[in-house]
Amino acid sequence: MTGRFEPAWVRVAVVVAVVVGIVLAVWLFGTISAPPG
Amino acid sequence: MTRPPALSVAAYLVGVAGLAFCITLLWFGMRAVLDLGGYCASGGPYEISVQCPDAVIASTPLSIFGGIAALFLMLWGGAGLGGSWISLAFLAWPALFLSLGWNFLQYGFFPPDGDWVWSWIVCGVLFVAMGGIPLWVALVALRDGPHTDGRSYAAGRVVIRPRPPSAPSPGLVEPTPVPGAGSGDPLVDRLERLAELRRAGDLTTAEFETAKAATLAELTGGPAR
Repeated sequence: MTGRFEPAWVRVAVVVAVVVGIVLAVWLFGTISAPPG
Repeated sequence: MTRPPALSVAAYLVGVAGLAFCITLLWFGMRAVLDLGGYCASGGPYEISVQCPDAVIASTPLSIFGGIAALFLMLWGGAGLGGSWISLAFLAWPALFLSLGWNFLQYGFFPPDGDWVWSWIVCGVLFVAMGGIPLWVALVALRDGPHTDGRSYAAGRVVIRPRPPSAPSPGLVEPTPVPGAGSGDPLVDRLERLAELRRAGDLTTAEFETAKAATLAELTGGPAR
């Protein structure tokens, strides 16, 4: 990446954000699609 | 290094996470509908043959409108960060179409019951092309970077570089240098030109002498001989 702001921790944070988003979606869809009880 | 506003970083990361969340949610919702045969409905005044699961009813609007909101949040935060961070939002397009195209192809070739479903396979091919071709073009442009001649697109920025000196085209022939041309002395140049014309027969000897005298008089300021 080029630009005036490119610390490594932001790149790591972007990857973490993607993983967190996917995990949250898996959890949420699994929760709401599970049969009641 | 400029320290960005914390708000831009937070908005960017929340937007990234939101996009991943919404695309994944849409992916699961699509698979739930494909499990039912590819269509379902809910609500309205009509009798519904295939009722949508509650999870699909809840997740589909959230994934679509939430995804749009997350994309704008990512763009806004990326604009605050500067550089090429904002261009990472482009990956949402291939992520969306490749993931949904995968669903179409998987369920088209391996449906829950029966033979191939050609309509899903066609949709899958189209979706993979819509997501894969822009991604491929972007990856090629990034790989080539500034090494291509003249112009390249690196991380969303146009990079223009001067062309390296190239060999002359084989169709072009170097002009034969004219004797005396470019000698730097206008008097010598003109006299040599007149001599050439006389040798070629374009000027008679009398005309040559007249032109020579006029040239000498003009350029030296002296009397013509």
